[in-house]
Amino acid sequence: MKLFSYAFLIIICVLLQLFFSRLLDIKGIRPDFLLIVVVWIAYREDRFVGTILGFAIGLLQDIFEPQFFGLSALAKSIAGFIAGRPFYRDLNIKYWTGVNLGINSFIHDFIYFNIYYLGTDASIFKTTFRYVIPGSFYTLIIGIIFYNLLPKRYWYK
Amino acid sequence: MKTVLKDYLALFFTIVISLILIYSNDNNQLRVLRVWLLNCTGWFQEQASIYSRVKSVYQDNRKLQKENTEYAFELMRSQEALLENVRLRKLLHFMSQQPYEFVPASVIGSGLTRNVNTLLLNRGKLHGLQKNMPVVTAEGMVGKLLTVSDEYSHAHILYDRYFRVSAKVQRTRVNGILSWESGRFLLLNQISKRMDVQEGDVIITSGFSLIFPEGIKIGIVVQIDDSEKGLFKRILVQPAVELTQLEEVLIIKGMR
Repeated sequence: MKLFSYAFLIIICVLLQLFFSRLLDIKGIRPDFLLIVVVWIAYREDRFVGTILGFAIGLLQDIFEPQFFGLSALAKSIAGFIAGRPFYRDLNIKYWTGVNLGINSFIHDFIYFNIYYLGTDASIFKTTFRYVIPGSFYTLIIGIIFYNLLPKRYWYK
Repeated sequence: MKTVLKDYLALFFTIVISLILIYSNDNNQLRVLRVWLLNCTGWFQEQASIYSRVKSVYQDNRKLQKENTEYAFELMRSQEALLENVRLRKLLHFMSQQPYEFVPASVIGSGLTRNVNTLLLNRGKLHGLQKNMPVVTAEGMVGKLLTVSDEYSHAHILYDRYFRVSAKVQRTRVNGILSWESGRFLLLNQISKRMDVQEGDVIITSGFSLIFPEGIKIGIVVQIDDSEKGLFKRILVQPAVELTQLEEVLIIKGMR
């Protein structure tokens, strides 16, 4: 039953990422629905599940990326690992889910964009302020809205 | 312990595989897989983009409608300017060939009621105008000034029951009195049935009036009726000037 719920959630996020992320574009910054679901599932389960899931979903995203196949897989597997066992795990679940997402979206975007723009004239500083911070913040906002729309049964094991 | 090791091993292997994939980009297998996925998702993405395309079309439509209206108004203004140019050139040419001193004026209002027909002009005493000065255009006579203020004046036009002017037939020099009763035509009175007047004859001012100088075109004879009782013909005259469509006029101030 849990597997079906997770599968359903992943499919929803894939569809949202495919069809609606473009509509939510603000000056080239889009939310990452797939990261939202990876962090959610990793936080509910553990690091192992988070790592593997992050890798698989990242790989799926990378198929659409001609130049850096494997980059999303790398970034999401690391984010899934970190999201899988934070020290605040057993505290106020709703609040810390948001915190978890905020931290991991920053880490994910930091890895992703800095490798992506490697070799260009964009410095780490510039990339961080232009892409990483706005992108991770945007993902956090969308993620909070998304988590609050989930039915109650998704919140409890 | 085992769980922790398992987690770190999973992380290690996923990172290694990801790095290998990053460095081995653009191989044939990957291209085939990409093309296949592109075919699958491309159609769905195209359908999903219908909303944004429709919205874009709607916004473009609104913008183009607005632009179209602005261009239509611009065109109307240009056409008006062109017509005004033609009229003013005509007036200018007319003025230069006459021995009179003219004051040009624009018609800023009119009062085509059943009883009193007047034009409101944007010239007055400050421009040298006085009551009873003749009002003309390049085509012919319009009327005379009725009331004059500092900045504006009322002109009495031919289509008025109280308007009278001494006129003559240009060809035969037959004199009569021109007036208006109703309708589109003027009436030339006091012409004996023995006098030579034909349809198409030009009617001009006779010069006997203290107000109107001689030779100003009034209109053209369109109908002659000899059948009525009495000594005089009933002659209908078509005004030379289209009195309902005036925009600029000239007031004869005096001789040069």
